[in-house]
Amino acid sequence: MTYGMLIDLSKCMGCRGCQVACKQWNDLPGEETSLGTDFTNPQKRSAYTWTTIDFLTAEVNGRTVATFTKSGCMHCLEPACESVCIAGAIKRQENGAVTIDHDKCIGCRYCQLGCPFGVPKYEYDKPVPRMQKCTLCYDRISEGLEPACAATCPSGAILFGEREELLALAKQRIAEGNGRYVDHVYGEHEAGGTAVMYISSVPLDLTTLNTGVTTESVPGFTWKAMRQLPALVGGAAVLSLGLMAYSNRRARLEAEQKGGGEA
Amino acid sequence: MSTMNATPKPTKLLRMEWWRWRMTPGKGLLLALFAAAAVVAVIRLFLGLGATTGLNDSMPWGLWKIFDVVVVVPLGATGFVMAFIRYFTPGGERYEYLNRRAVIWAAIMYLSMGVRLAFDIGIPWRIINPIVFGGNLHSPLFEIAWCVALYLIVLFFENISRVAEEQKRPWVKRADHLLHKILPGFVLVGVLLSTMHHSSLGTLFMITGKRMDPLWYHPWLNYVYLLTSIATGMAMMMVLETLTSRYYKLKFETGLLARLAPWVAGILSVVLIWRLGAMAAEGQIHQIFVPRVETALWWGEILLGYVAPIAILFSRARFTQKGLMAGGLLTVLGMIALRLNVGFTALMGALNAQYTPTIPEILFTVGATAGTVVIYTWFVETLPSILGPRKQETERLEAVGD
Ligand code: SF4
Ligand code: SF4
Repeated sequence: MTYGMLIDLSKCMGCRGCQVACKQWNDLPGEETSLGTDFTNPQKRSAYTWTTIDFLTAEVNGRTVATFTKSGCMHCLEPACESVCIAGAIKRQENGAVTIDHDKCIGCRYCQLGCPFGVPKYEYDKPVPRMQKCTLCYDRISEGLEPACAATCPSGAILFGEREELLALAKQRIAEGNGRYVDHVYGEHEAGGTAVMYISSVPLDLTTLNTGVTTESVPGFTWKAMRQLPALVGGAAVLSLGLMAYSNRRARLEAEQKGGGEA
Repeated sequence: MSTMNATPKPTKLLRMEWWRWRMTPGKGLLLALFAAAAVVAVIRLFLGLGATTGLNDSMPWGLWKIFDVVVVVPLGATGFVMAFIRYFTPGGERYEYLNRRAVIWAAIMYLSMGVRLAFDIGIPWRIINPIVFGGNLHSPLFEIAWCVALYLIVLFFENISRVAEEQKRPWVKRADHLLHKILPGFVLVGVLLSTMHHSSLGTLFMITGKRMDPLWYHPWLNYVYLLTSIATGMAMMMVLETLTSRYYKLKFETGLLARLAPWVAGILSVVLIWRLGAMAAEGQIHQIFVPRVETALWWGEILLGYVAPIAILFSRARFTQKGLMAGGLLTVLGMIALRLNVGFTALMGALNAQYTPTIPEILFTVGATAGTVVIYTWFVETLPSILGPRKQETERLEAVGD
């Protein structure tokens, strides 16, 4: 069974309760922050801040609109991070949570490069660092609880449940909303489908969601090359052995010719 | 072992002298850089990556990955390409001594890469964990780790005869004789492992898909990397021979190397056409005229790293040492330019990254590279049969000038 979250951005009021709850439950230290052009704070996610409310202010038709986007790991159905991890430290668990085993991770940081959403963050400031990201509160959901952010959200913007049900609910809300929502469930197909999905009443490019992301399954990008390795090796073996046989034969013929001439 | 029942063998049977290496001012300078790199390595161990490098969450792979691994490995491609030529192609015996230089150079490059990578990964002492405890078969990086580890074993057997040739003990001779019989098997394994990991170094970057800058996006970047590695294997040999023959006053094998030149130029032509063709197929060929910094870098790479060496190595210039040196060097630089452009120019665009390597970071890369050159001279001077047939037992090799 795949659990997931449906984030209804139209219900988010930007209180950052989820951001605080995440820190609290996961025992993440506070960070020294500074203010940027909007109210996102800290301005970026890090190894110590796994989710943020991203504030975005924009002018639309002369009106100023402010949007809030909850950011974090999408818990892909086919995670790129898992597929590239050299150590097998990243696993998509049966319940849909994508987690990192710190005892296995060697710190190659390939997952950071592979994730199309830029999610995994590294403790670069530590001599013995860990790769960190949202775990979908794997520890909580294994015990039948909701993730800390979903449990906290006062406006019901973060719903936790089975992905299939949430997807149906998202579509139902869009259908019954009479145009209130943008007709797009973000995460249904993005990166080959994700367990965390979004619906929004403002156009998605007014949110901080990555609208340019591929809808293909990302692990396939490298797998298409990896799966050809047996053929490549076979071809190289045939070429090497064939050429060696030819060279040996030529050497033998040359030797015979020489021998024959002298006799 | 054989001394158990017989009278102890006189030590003069061991002609090996372990310290034939001579210090010169030039080597001293390289060693100083090497020492500086070691200092950076120690600091990095205690303070971590953040304190010593420009790495950050927006740019997870910096100089120590893109240069010290992705560039250094193909610099060592001499090993599998020359061994292939020596053992599998008609008349390969003539390449025996070139191959000796090629495989020791490759061994040094691969070992150096392994050590450098250990300092790049977050937890250095876990470097062999994925191999010992198992990893993830879907990861191109895991595939590279295995291939490189196994290839190091192959390189050991390809080089150990140089040590054996320094000894007179009968059992060493017998073992060496036996090894020579099965060596083509090792060479074959080495070639297969190399086709795998040289291509996988390109596969690494394919995970970014079309986020990659269209100037360097290629649907089969893995084969582009493999082909340029093969070309580099021969081209690096031209560079290595130029330096080695000058430094040790050897004959420069113009004839043998000139025979390789058309192959280098041919492979580069294929790659160039394929890269342009792939861009055209993506409908991105107009990108080469869009005025951007990236476009200038692309043109620089293509003109100096492909067009120029193709022209030189196909022309009659290939029958001169200068022509081979220039063509070889440009090919190697073109290989490096491709790796750096994909790893930095294109990747930083794809990840929207901010990254500037720090001085210590650069010092580590430069110093480690300088170190490999010193180690090469150490092996060449300690095991003179790398350079040519041994005439006298105790001849001393003169390192002349810098
Ligand atoms: S969003 Fe990134 S980190 Fe999260 S599961 Fe997908 S690939 Fe992995
Ligand atoms: S940094 Fe760790 S978790 Fe990420 S790919 Fe490397 S070993 Fe796996």
